[in-house]
Amino acid sequence: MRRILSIALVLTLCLTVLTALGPAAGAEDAAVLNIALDGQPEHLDVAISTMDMASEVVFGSVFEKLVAFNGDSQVIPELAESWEISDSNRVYTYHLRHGILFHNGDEMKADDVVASMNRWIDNAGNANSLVGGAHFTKVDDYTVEIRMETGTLYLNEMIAGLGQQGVVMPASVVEAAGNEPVKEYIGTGPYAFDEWKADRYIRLKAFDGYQPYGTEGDYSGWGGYKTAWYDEVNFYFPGDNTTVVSGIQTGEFDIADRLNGDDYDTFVDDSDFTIFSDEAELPMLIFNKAQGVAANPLVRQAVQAVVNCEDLMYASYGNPDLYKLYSSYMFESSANWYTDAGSEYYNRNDPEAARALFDEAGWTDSDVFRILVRTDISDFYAQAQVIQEELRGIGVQCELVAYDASSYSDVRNNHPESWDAFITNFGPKVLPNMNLFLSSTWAGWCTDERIASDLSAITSGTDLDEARQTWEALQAYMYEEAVPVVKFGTTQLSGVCRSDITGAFIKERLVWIDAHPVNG
Amino acid sequence: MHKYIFRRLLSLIPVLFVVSLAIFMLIHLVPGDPAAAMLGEQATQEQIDALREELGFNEPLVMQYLHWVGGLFRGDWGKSYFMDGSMLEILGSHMLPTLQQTLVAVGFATLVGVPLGMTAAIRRGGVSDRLISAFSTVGVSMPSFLMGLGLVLLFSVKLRWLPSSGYKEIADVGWVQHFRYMLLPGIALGFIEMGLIIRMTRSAMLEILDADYMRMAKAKGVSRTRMFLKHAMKNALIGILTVVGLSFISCLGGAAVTEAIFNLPGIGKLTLNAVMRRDYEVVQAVVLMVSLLNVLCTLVLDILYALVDPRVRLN
Repeated sequence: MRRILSIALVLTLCLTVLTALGPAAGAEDAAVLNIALDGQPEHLDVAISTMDMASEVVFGSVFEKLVAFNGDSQVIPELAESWEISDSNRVYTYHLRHGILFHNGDEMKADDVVASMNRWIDNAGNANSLVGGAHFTKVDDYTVEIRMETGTLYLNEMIAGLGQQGVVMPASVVEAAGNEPVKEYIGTGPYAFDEWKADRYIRLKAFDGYQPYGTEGDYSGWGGYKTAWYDEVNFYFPGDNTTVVSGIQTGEFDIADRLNGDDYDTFVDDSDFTIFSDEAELPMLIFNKAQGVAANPLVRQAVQAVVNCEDLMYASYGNPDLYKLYSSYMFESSANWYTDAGSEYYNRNDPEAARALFDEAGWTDSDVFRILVRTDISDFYAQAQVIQEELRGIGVQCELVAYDASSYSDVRNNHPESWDAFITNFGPKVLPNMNLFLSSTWAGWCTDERIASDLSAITSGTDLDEARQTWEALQAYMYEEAVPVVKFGTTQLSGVCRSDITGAFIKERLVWIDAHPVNG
Repeated sequence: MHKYIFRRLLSLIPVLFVVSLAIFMLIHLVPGDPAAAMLGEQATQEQIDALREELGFNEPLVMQYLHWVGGLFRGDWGKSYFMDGSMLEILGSHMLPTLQQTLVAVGFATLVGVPLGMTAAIRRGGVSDRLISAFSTVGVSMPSFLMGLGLVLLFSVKLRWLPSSGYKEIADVGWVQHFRYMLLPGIALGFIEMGLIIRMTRSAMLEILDADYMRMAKAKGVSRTRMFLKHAMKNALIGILTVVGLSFISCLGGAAVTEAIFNLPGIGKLTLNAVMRRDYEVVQAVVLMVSLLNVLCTLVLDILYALVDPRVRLN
């Protein structure tokens, strides 16, 4: 018996000794950066994909554009050395930088830019409508231009902005892919794509042939002088929040791209970690304007009047550091479009006015306001519950119609008779007309004539001040009369990194390109 | 024995047919649309419709099933709508971490469970028996996610001995580093199985210890060690083998929670993601493969019975 016990003891001892073997977890080589992402992208072709995760991995690091936004949301040169815009804003001419190498060793020339930009125009609806279907053409090996039927002020902003991105790839790669995602990720950035193991990691490696531009150390926003600080950058997809938190705490990860409210509190007072935040998304209640009770604008105005945005945001995010309350449908950081027009109708929390509007709309006790919600997004569910309680408080019946993610999309798109409103959120947009909640074809079906004509005037306008005034008046009209949506607030996206690393920040999403050791 | 194995393998065909039909119907009858999941919440209905057409979701269900089964006969297990590579590559790359985690889990459960179970039986009614029985109760009662979180908190966050999550291949980091990454998930997964093995070993041993031939051995003056190891242990082995085998099957199919906590790219995580995204063919392929493994594991167990106990005749 003693022998048996001895064997067990020795085995247990072996396990204990093994745990102590090897370096402490996370004590990686200083030239490796490990980033925990909130999810795994489906592919990395950001000219096709709008997924944040794909952008976080490759935008600015692997792929670059003709122009980029700096930290003040101003357009700065990237692959284009300079550009000219004709007086009528109809012709944009870009002069390319010389000697820029792709990761496959070929030099970037006008043919590559033309192929990439035209594929972007063909696949990105917003870009296509902005340029009226026009395409880029080659002038010479280092010059390209685009000639449009009608002028636009915003082409550079559109190219620099996020969403589907006009990144430049070799013409051969673009042509081989057509309208499908590219098979090879070859760009011009400081990091080259190395390996992707599904559900495990994506690995980038420093690109020796990278040609930085501008002044050394002058990097902000999405552009400027870039340095490949690390030999290798790995992206992981831990999924579970507790895994992310323990991974950061133990050094498995150097940076995590987003924290939820509870995890924020874990790191906020810990000097070993740095939290960085910026505006991220606008959570909104989108009304079904095509049919049902919300087709009546008075009902929409009534719902807007009863909503207490502070309660809504607190219920879902649980920490005032994680959100802002302001009325603008465009982000505060948006260069041209932030406005407080109509703010007197935002966050009214006025049950009496709401009840009066419901009465005016002819609301009866048998009427029901149905909110479609996804069961897998707890923030949206909490917001729907708060609205439900607020409506019940003024004697209005409200039901939550809950579905899992896959069924939800089906019901929302194909069974509009089943719901009156749903909750979702939207990221920053370059132009007001890029907001899907103002589209006549997307769920919610915003067919208001004034909204459509004003948006069209803004897009095709040639005077920026005039366009700003139009948008201001339109936002006031939407708050006062049309009420296509109820905006709750603006969420802050928070990421965290170990405090021995600096240079990572959030600008709409994680920007890690300039992340480097504090003493590096 | 060869005939027996052949017959068992033949019996796989109806099993797999029923499983394939059941899983196909189940996953397709659940509401939800993989095209919508693929394109994201802000896709238009036109984009979703075009993708449905492209992926063949508008064909009748029967035709979709026949296409899939026809592909299986040609060695084509289908295609993921979200991941590159053949289905066999996807299954293989995700099966490996699960298999490694399962081996660590069952190894841990057996190495700890069997000696403790034997000790409890030998010391029946004593303090050590009660302590071990209480420990096994904790083992079978502790959910694996709680155990996993506790292990991470202690060994990773507080003591900094072991990595908190992740998966490193042996080829990249060597055996020791690889094992360090697998140890905590393996223990978290195997803890419940350890509790079961302690109980089974104890009861199997107790039954043997009460047998007449054990009294005879004692009367003949056989040493205690020889008596326990040669006579008691060998006869208790069938029961222990059964529970170890069942633990192996259970760990293989039930690792999703620990894989999520420890960020292991295993078959559980693959299944969970596939169900959430309605990646039909991945779900179907995973269920088929796990069913196949279950049947094969049972077959291996039956063969082991015969090897361990000559009284067992497979025919």
